[in-house]
Amino acid sequence: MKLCEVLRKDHIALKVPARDWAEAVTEAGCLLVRTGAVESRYVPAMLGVIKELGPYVVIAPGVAMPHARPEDGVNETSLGIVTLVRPVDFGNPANDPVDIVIPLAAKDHDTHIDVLKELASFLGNEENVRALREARTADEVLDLISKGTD
Amino acid sequence: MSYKILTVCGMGLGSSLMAKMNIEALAKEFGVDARVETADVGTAKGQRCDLLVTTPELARALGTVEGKEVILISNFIRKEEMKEKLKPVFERWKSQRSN
Repeated sequence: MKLCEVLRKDHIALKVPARDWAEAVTEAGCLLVRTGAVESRYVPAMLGVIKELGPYVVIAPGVAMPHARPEDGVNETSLGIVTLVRPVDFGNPANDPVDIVIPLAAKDHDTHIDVLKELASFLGNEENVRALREARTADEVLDLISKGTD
Repeated sequence: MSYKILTVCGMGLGSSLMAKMNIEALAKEFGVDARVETADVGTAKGQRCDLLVTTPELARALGTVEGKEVILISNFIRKEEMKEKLKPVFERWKSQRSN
């Protein structure tokens, strides 16, 4: 499974306004709901994970990858990308503030491993992250990713 | 016998999987024989391992993990932090092996 297969164009939203982390996660999760990749109950499940376990979903400076369990209503393994107009704090001292939110839905525990590998290699390059922050269209993002994960 | 490393995140399928990939690559680089498994906070508690890798946030949820060496990671994307923190452990394991 490749990153470009699970990152659909309609799972990308750029320069989204959000007042706080919960709004940012909700916006990100709703992208997956709208395409039917997850059930609507997946969104409160994502919020619940962060409330229960803390802001550990902020996996690197500025980047959060909220997700819940496969059994919380995942129909297909999928991933989105949301950039925020203004960064929000998740309460993660090492990595706040966050302006890139990557909603993840996994159908099981390992089929998305190659997707995460590509994502990590893409985000591991600071040039890519800078370009992603500045991207204005979903096509630009898809283009960046296809170039950045060769 | 190989060393067992447990990477722990909330669901066992996000950051723990990213950490597993990075650690496997680092173990190879250092020539350490290590098996890396992922777990969620709930199932991690009862598991035996030589090293547990997680985030500062989840360390609180995990509570004290008795008898386990724990490494806390904040950045799961860049390998530098992980390498810096795993290096001393891997070097110690290697020297124990050769003695």
